[in-house]
Amino acid sequence: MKTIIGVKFCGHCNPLIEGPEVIENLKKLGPDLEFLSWEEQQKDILLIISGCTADCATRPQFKGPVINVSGSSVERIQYSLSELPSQILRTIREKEAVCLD
Amino acid sequence: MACTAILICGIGLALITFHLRELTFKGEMIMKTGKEYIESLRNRNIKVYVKGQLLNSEEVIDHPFIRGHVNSAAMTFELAHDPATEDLVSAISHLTGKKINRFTHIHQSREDLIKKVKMLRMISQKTGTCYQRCVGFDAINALYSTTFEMDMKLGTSYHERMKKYIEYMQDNDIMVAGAMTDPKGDRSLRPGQQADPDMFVHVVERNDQGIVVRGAKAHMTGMVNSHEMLIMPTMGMIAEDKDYAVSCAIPVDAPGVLHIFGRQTNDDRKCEGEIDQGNAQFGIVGGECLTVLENVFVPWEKVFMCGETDFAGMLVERFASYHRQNYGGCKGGVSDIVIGAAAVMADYSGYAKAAHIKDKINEMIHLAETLYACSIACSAEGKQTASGSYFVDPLLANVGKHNVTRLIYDIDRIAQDIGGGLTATLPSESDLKNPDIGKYVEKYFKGVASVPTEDRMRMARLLENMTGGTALIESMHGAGSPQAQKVMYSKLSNLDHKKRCAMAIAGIKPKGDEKAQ
Ligand SMILES: Cc1cc2nc3c(=O)[nH]c(=O)nc-3n(C[C@H](O)[C@H](O)[C@H](O)COP(=O)(O)OP(=O)(O)OC[C@H]3O[C@@H](n4cnc5c(N)ncnc54)[C@H](O)[C@@H]3O)c2cc1C
Repeated sequence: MKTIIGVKFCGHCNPLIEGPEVIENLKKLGPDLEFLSWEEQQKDILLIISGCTADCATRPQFKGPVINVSGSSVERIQYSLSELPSQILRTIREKEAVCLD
Repeated sequence: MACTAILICGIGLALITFHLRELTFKGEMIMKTGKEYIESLRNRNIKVYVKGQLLNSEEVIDHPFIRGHVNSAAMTFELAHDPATEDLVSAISHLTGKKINRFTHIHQSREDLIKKVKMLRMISQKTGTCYQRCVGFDAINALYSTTFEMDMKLGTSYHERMKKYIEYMQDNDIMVAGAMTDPKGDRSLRPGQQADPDMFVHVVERNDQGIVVRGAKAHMTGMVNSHEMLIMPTMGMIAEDKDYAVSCAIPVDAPGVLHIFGRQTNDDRKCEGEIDQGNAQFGIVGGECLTVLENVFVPWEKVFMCGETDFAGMLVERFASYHRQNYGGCKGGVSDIVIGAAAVMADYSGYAKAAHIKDKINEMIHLAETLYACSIACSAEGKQTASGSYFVDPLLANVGKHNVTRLIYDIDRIAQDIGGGLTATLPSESDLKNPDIGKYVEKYFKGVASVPTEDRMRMARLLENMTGGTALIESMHGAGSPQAQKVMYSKLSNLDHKKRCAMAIAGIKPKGDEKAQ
């Protein structure tokens, strides 16, 4: 079974990062993951990507694990832009492990 | 496991392709796509004149002068479906709980006001020009709170009508033009004093079915590619102006309505190739027209003000403040394109590393973010109205639009400096493609060797069309001339408070009424 990540973007009005490009990179790094819309009912993890530190993406209701990316920060910890995809992936793996527990 | 399908946002526009299963909405899907919007316009029986010719109603949106504006407005529909942008371009209706296009939404929070500004900046970055739909958006928000307060004070029932109209607008995802500006004739005279009473839209008949209105609305953005228009008075009214205090919704193709499309700088280039237009896909500004109303009947359910002169001023101020809120968003986004174009021209021409060029680009960034900051600030300082909807801070909104009447000129001036003289003197696309002389255009308009001359020409043309003529004048007069904003912010800022602060700091004790000092 692939892990389904529901993705919610902010809208990217003045972005430091381009959310859809981040997802394309993540797909290459984690081919076992499936990225779908946040509106997908069956998702395992909700990934919120805001293009800058304003972190303004609307938070949909979701009872499962949520990962917040804003600009080059993951869960409010700042990384370099080059580190970002691998750090998001690492966080996804951590949440997956919790899901499996 | 979920199967994936490629969701390619339609109408042939270059949007992000992102592997997603078809979006599954919990509620009913009522938002039009860009393509559906464009198709819906063909069903109208609209009368539009361009350069003296009446267009075939079905083909209005295909006319070269109009096509780009239609594409631009279509983005306001399409981006509500794009996963990367739907958070800004959609909202949940407070009336029905359905997911709706934000351009039909009534602001329910400060966050909604902020999202509006962000949405406008983002769409401008994709169109490089006006996408017209904010005017009707601002009109419904202004009318929503004004009709509520009018009903409270006068016992009228306009607010319920307004709510029904907004629900209709949301459920059908229609585009509504905001029609406030009258031709106004002699500016020193009130509506009723004009030599020609039609200089301001007015009621000429009232009966048990509805009203009949007459006059015209000038500079109508997006009107010829809208479904309906919302008529509002252009200024505050006094008791004698009763017939002129009128607000109502009218289909753009109602009997008695006709539109005369405005000319723009370089518009005949739209009948030629692509390069010389600068922004061939989306055009320049909003495709404005003069809308003539020759005794147009409006049923009562679409009338939202009829003779309540005391509330005309409130409606105008609310509309103007919402509309002025926009400009740091949309012009911020348009400036992002101008800054990008200037920087690319510097790259193409080999002077991008020069210190003064970097400095000028930084100055443009500073100016653009200043515009944006004011729009965000007036939204963050927004407040709830008696109707429950949210209204921007009018002081900051007016200051923000006033900045636009100046800073856009500065941004464009710097962009023209960086762009170089060829932005004004380039030969045409036909010359570039001419088998005999094309090689000279190719050779002598080349900048750095690795960049094709055509690319440099395209960028120069984009700069030319975005930084002059019609595009610049919109920043000056759209949403009101500078003096209109100055009048508002001088009224709203408390000068006496500033005087008292200064006197306190200077150690001067106020003697009774410090206004007399
Ligand atoms: C591109 C564009 C798009 C627009 N889109 C829309 C739209 O969609 N909907 C809409 O309703 N309107 C729209 N407008 C209209 C816009 O709001 C008006 O242009 C603006 O309010 C100025 O009015 P005006 O053009 O009649 O200029 P005028 O009012 O004639 O102003 C010209 C000058 O005269 C001064 N002036 C005017 N009256 C007086 C007076 N009584 N005393 C002293 N000075 C005076 C002004 O301050 C200004 O300096 C648009 C305008 C433009 C340029």
